[in-house]
Amino acid sequence: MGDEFYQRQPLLSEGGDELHSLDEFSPRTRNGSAVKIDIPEGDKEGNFPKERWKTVLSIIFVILAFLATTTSLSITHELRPAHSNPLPDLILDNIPYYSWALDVSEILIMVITTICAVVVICHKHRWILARRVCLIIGLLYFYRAITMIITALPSANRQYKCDPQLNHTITATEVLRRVVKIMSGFGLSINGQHVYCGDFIFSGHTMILILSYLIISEYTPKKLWLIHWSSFLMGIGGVISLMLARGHYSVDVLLAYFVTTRLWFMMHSVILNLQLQQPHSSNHLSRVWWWSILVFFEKNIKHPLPNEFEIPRPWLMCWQQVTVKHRIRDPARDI
Amino acid sequence: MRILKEENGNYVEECRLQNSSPIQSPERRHVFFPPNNAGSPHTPLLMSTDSEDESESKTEEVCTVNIENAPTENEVLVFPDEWHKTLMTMLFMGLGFIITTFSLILTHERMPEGDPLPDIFLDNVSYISWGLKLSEVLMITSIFAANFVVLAHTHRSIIYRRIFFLLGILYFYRAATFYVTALPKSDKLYHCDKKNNGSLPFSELVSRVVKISTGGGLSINDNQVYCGDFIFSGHTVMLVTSYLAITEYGPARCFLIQWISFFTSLFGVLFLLLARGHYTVDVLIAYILTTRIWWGYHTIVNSETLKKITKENSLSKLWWFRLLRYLEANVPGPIPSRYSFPLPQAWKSCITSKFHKKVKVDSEPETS
Repeated sequence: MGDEFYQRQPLLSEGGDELHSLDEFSPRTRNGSAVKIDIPEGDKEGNFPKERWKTVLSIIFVILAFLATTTSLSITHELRPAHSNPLPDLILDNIPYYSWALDVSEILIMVITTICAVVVICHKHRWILARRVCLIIGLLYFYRAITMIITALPSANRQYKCDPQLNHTITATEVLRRVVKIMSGFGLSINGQHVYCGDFIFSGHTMILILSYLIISEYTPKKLWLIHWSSFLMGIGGVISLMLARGHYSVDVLLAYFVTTRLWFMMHSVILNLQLQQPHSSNHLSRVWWWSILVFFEKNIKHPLPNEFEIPRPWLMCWQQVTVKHRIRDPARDI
Repeated sequence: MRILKEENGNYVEECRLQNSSPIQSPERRHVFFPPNNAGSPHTPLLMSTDSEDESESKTEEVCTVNIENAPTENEVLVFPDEWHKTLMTMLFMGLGFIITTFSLILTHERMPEGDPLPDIFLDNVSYISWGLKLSEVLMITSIFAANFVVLAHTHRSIIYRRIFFLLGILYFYRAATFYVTALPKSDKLYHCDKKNNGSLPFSELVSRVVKISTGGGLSINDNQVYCGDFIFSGHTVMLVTSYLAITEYGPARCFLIQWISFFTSLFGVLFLLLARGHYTVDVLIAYILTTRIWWGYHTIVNSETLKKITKENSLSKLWWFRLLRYLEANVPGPIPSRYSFPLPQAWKSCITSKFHKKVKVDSEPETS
């Protein structure tokens, strides 16, 4: 359907999507001998192809990353030194301990991630935004899956209830059962499903708090300063509560901050600067392993996403498909 | 061929097609490409999407950096040495080393006594006690080789400036990470000095700093008896940085040097782990941090657009971005691969003029 559409639409810009909104569709472009007219830069703001299939791929990527992390945690639980004392920690050893602070931290995480989800879903270019968010979350969870298993730290909080370790080598079935259990709780302790310990380096709670703040501040208009400040304070509050509950060591939080922010900066530099999507020898960012994945996702996005919002209307997708199909069947109708 | 031309006081990169005829509207390396970058605007008929992609990728293939075709006379780029900036970065790196050393001594007092932590690599390979010494020998060799390559480079001052700056940043990070959470010894057999078990007098602190500094932080000379510096591995930082410097600034065509450097660094890290000098997570974090900071820095300095503070330039939010702008203010673009003797220019002119005089004197009787 798409190819026939393009053959007759010579004025379509490159990277056009299969489905266009009704506004962009112009019957005057039907004439096959039309000449390409260079469109000045200002008029090209509207070309953000949805490419839903790429978003689906990124969702699969993030699901694989979640599976990797939960598998890693299931195994780390067996490897960790269950009886060792918590390591000396600059911050943890000098602040009071409150067991309820972990619940506070997780409630803040739930609030900030909900706001973040609303921002993504109500964004006009939600498919593109979702793709970026899934990619970065996937990368961070893959990194976390590796760092938590390679060196297992003792529990930072002796009073946190961890399931006992098995007295035999863990089998694949047991790993699978644990994966399902952890995923059913979304990795949070507040619902009692997080009984497998050892996931210290680096802190997933800190990572999600910082990432949610970055997404909210980047993809909402600057005038919504109240939301930006609220999410910033929620992030800070979440991290402080996490430390008060001895949920993580200081080094976990520090590393999570660095990995999340640096990955975000690098990804957005590549996204917003097309020269960094070219494979030159002087483009050092092309040497990171995920560069080609990112360039593949962002190939057809040539401008920064304008921060526009709308209520999503999923039923419109079906309406568009019906009307477009109808016009394809009779292309000369409106000339 | 990519040429850097001066335009309105800024250097702009211009992309030319393989046959050296410039396309009518040369691709400007601004933040966003103009919409007609897929092909020449004189093409009357629009190609289908597929061949548009092809032509776009052809343009990409053609735009490769080709340093050998140096800019013409009118486009000669000047890379000022600015040794004062290099000295500043050297002091910055020195400060990083000293702070790391202070941090190490304080961490040593806090280090827990327990068993080494479970580690997926360390627990499954045999222990090689001499591995640490070999790793340090490889590290020293790697550092010497990198120094040799940089010294032989014409723009050694700029390269040293970059290396000192990046190492300084990494050492500052290191001082923070190994102090905040203290890990137990990864090698039960490694000798660590006894703790003070009380407050450490300042004089003792200073003498320990001197002791470690004179040993360069290496275990090979038995000065490194203070333990606890695990996250992240300084040995790995040095090995990886030497490899990156050699591949970045060494002769591009000399694959042998690059491969030797790669294997030296790889075996340096491997023997470090086999000797249980560090946990696996220390090495991994050191590798990730060193490579990302190096690549991030070099991406910024090789692009005029990314040296500006704009909303679209996410890398400008890094804390050391303004320091980078100061250090690289007068570097017009990617450093060309040129090599020369590391002598001051005045000496070189003196020697060259003396040599020419001698040749003239020798050849005079023949011509008369």
